[in-house]
Order: sequence, then C-alpha cells, then structure tokens
Amino acid sequence: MSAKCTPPERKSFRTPLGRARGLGSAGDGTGHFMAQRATAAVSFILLLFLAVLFVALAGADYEQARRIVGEPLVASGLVFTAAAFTWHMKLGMQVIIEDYVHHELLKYALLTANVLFCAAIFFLALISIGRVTFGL
Amino acid sequence: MVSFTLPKNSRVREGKVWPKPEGATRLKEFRIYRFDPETGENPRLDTYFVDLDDCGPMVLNALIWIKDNIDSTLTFRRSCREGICGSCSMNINGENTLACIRSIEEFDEPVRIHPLPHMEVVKDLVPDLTLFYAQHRLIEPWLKTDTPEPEREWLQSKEDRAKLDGLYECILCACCSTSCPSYWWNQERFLGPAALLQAWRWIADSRDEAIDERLDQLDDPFRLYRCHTIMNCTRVCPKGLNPARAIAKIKRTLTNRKA
Repeated sequence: MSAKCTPPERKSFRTPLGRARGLGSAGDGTGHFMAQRATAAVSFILLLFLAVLFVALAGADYEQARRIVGEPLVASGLVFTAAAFTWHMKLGMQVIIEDYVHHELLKYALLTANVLFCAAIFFLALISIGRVTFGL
Repeated sequence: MVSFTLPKNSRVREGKVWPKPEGATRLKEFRIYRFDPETGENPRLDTYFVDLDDCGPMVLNALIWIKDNIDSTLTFRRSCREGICGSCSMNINGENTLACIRSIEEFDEPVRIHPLPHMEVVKDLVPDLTLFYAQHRLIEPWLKTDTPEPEREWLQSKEDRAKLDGLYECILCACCSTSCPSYWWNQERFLGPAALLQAWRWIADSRDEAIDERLDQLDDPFRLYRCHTIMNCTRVCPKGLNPARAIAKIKRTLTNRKA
C-alpha cells in the first residue's frame, strides 16, 4: 500500500461520548459567576463614590485630604472599594487564564500569581488608606 | 495553549484556478477550501467560475454546479436543500451559515467558502462533528420521568408548550458552536451553544422530571460558564434562534437554585 492511502494514525480510541463527558461536572461554577456579577455591580456603585470623593478632594492640601479620608465612613468606603475592585480583578483574570492557558503547570502558576498579585494590590491599598487615616 | 497562528500543515496556500466555462456571459468567482488528509499536502484555495445562467440561485446550487460541471472531487455535505437538515453548514465570506438558504447574489465576489472554523477537517468542506454530536448526547436530549407513564401522552398546557418555541427548532448544523471563540479554545470542555440551547430546551420542558440532574450536569466552570456572552451564536444561527439567551436562562436558573 502506498503512503498516500495510509490513514493518519489514531492517537486515541476513546469514544466521542467519553471525550464529551470528560471528568464530569465540577458541581461548581455558579458561585464564581455570582461573585463576578455581584462585585461588578458593587464596583459600579463604588466608582460613583470614588468620583464624589475625588471632587471633594480637589484642591485640598494634605491635611484637609487626611481629614476627609480619615472620616470612618470614607475610610471604610475606600477599603470596601479596594476589596470589591481587587476581588473582581482576581475573578476576571482567572477566567482569562483558564480560557487561554491549557498547559497544566503554567496554568496553576499563573492562577496562583493572579491571586497573589490581587491580594498584594488589596493589602497595599489597605495599608495606604490606614496610613493616611491614622496619620502614620 | 491557545494558538494564534495556524499550525504549519494547516496554512492555506493558493490552489488551482479552474478554466472559465465556455460561452458563459454571467460569471461569478468562487474560492473554495480544498483539503485531503490522505495526500499529506497543505490545504489550498481553488478558484472556480460559475455560470450563473446555468445554475440555481443558492450557494449550494453553485457548489453542486461546480461538482457536476468542473470538479467532481469537490466534497461537501448536503441533503434537504431547504434549511431543515443542517448538512450544508459552512463558512461563506467569513460567516457560518447554510449554503442552501443563502443566495449567491448576497455575497461579494469572490465568494470565499471554507469549512466551519476550528474543527478537524475530514475533507474539503466536511468538518468532523463527532464531538459536537456527542456533546448533544451528553445533555440527554429526551424526556426523563420517574412518574409511571400515563396511558396516553404526557399533558402540557398551551403556555408551557409555548416556552419551547425558539428552542426545539434547532437543526444541529453547528453554525453557532463553531462561531464561538470559547468553543474554539475549549471545545473539549465547553459544551458550546448548540448543546446548551438543547439543555435548556429540556430544562424548560414542563413534563421533564430531571431538571435537578440536568442542572447538576451543567454546573461547571467549563461546560456552561465558558460562555462569555459573545453572542456570535445568536448572530449566525440560520434558523434565527437565540442560544445566548437560553444559556443566560440556564445561568439564572442555577443562580436561583443557589441563592
């Protein structure tokens, strides 16, 4: 038989249904979906809070700014904003990594890096807000 | 890993330009993807000229005309030629559609015809839809009940029956799933819009008693939640269905179950 007529060698004899079922349903995913939508909605509202705060801070010197940011409601709002933004960022980036990166080791490395990066941003924001609030 | 360029053996090269039919006055140029895995050669785009005065009005007519008059080796699927079997789904000028219900005149010249994107190609315009069909099988597209069967049919109110409109009409042509980037990158794990539309068709059926099982099957970051509401599925569906809305309804139902 000539090479021309040789069908390509099959790498797997798993049935199509076996392939489609794969490892089955993870029984999870809705929580991530809900958290992503909830943080998106909350972030939108907090964006308005940030806009109002920036207007209030316009033209203020450091002492005046410290007094405004140091108000418990404002400081709490800022911490809440940092939490919502970074949580949403973590969830969104996680989806992008899962979409495009299929190499197992690289995927887990990037997913871990994503969590660490978003957590670092949050703690940086937290410490900065604390520092301004408490005048350290 | 996602690939942004075609593998070496998939790069499409210019193919043969077939002679124009003699004596024809109204010609239209078609560039058609040709691939035969048995030759080991890269795919190529062959150029054909169709005599519009001798050919029916639809793109499928042009393909059949080419096969009959110019090149009998051109391979494609077709059956009903009226948009009900879903066999002749292919990519025409960048859009997944059915060749039998789209007029030749709708498309700019040259009409570029490729197989459905991002699928293994069996030959020419015939993609391998084995996994696509298995994903439809996975959602168990039949009525599941535990209650003993009634002597006659399972009853359904007119209102409940109306909920299946826009769902049951799917002909499994695969235009939607193969237009979805999420399906391109993750088709081994994401079920794709066609299977998910059918999953919702059975969840929405008032006679079905396995909604819990069906939802359990879908509650997965990949099977369902790879859908990012890109909406290509709805844009290309040749039957005018809305898989994106059906998927959104599954997500909402799962959310309601949890919250």
